[in-house]
Amino acid sequence: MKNSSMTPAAMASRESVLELSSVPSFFRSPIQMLSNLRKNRNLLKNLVARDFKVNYHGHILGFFWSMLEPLALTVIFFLVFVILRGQSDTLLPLKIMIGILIFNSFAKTMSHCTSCLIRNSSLIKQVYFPREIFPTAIAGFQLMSLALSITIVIPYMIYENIMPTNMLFLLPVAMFCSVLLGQGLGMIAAVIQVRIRDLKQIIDLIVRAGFFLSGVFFGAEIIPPEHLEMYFFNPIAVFIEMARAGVLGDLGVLTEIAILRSIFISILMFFIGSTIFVKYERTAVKYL
Amino acid sequence: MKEDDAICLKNICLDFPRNQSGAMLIKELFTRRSKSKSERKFRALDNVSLTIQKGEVFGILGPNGAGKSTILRVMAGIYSPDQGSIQIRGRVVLLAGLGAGFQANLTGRENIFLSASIYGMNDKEVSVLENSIIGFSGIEEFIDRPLRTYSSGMKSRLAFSIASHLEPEILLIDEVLAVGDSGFREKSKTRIMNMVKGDTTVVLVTHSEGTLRELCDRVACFSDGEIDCLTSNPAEAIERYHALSELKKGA
Repeated sequence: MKNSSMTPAAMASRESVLELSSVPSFFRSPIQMLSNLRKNRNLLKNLVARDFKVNYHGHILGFFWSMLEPLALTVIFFLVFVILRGQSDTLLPLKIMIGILIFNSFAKTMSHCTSCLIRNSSLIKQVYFPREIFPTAIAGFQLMSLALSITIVIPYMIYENIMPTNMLFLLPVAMFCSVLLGQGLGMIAAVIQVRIRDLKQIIDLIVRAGFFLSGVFFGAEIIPPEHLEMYFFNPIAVFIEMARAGVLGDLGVLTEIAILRSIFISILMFFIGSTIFVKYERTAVKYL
Repeated sequence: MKEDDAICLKNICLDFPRNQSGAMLIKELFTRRSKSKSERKFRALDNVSLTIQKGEVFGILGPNGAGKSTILRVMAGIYSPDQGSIQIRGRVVLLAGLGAGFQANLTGRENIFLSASIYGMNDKEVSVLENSIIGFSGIEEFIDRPLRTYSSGMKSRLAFSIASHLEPEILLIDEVLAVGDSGFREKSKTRIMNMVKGDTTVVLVTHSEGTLRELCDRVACFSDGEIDCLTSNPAEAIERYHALSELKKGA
């Protein structure tokens, strides 16, 4: 039976012979990754639960501390905008809040996935389980904390009397795709980072630049129409606009074609990322 | 692979990269002078073939850097070989340092579930064994306190207790696991002995000559990534090991 990465537990129940040396073909890698994740979903669940417990353990306000940063940034950016531009869009704080939450989830997923092999190096040398569990657990944790912290917009919606419309479905799609894109890019970076450790710094720099280029603290409507087409080639900018559109029930300047393209890009990057990760993590762990 | 074989290695070769700094990589890129293969790589295992039968206790010894731990990690699936093939029949657990995945901020109980699932058990299996694990570790009154409040002895008792409940078909042990105070050490020794004497296949890397003589059905002495001698007489392998150590000292 040819299967390179079954868990010991799964193996025992079938009394099968494990061929440890077989490497999946390039195109089968993403499929293998998904089936490995399914087989190890119990471990995956425990790792996500661990991250929750470790991150929010022993704090009385627990999760609310993680909302404090986006809240504080929202206030700062709003004040800066009001002072500099005299803008008095009452929806701007809401837009900034959504922008920060979506962007942070993407950025954290990407940068934590990038260093997942190095940070878990002692565990990797101690126990074998499919390594794609590390980036997936990170993405799962980020997606779930995003889902919790996005509830921060509910009081604001009530206060501004914004009724949810059937466009609200855009919000979870945008949340999911931004984390998926982060995981895809992070998995590519992870196998490179074990050889070139400077990559982390480069990625942090790109993330910092991306923060200012992705419309985190402004709406896409302030982009000049002639540049809008190009602006929407940035999938993160589109996901942020999508999330806002979902909450406000209004697409604004966003186009359907931009939405579909960005969703496609994030799925494609996830598949490319998992292919590269599954293919090269075997070599990468030798550098740990 | 025959029916009663547990592990079958054929012509395993494994290269490790000699760690290059990033600066060297860039220099190489620009000067276009690529190094020869042997300069970039280091052969950790060289054409190792080995068959271990079910229920056998197999000892591995050898000087430092001979590839003992590496061959265990290849058997556990941690490193995949550059050449050759491996076949494994049964559930494998590698014990190399205890407490895989332990988190200081989680309680002992939470760590049992986390660590056991890292070793490939699911929550259902663990909840059945939970009381037995806690009982064996002998730290019932601390089990719901965070791990950071544990003494290092308590931590290793919990870790050993989890490891000893995994009940794999194939157990790979890297160096002797002597943990805790003398009472616990007795208990854990008995536990290992039971596994070794039962039908578990055990591969044991150790420098302890007593253990090798007492337990092992066969012993292999490794040297520079190759099997230097493979014998069912532990004394012979130990003798060879001493000779190799002398040789190293001389050179």
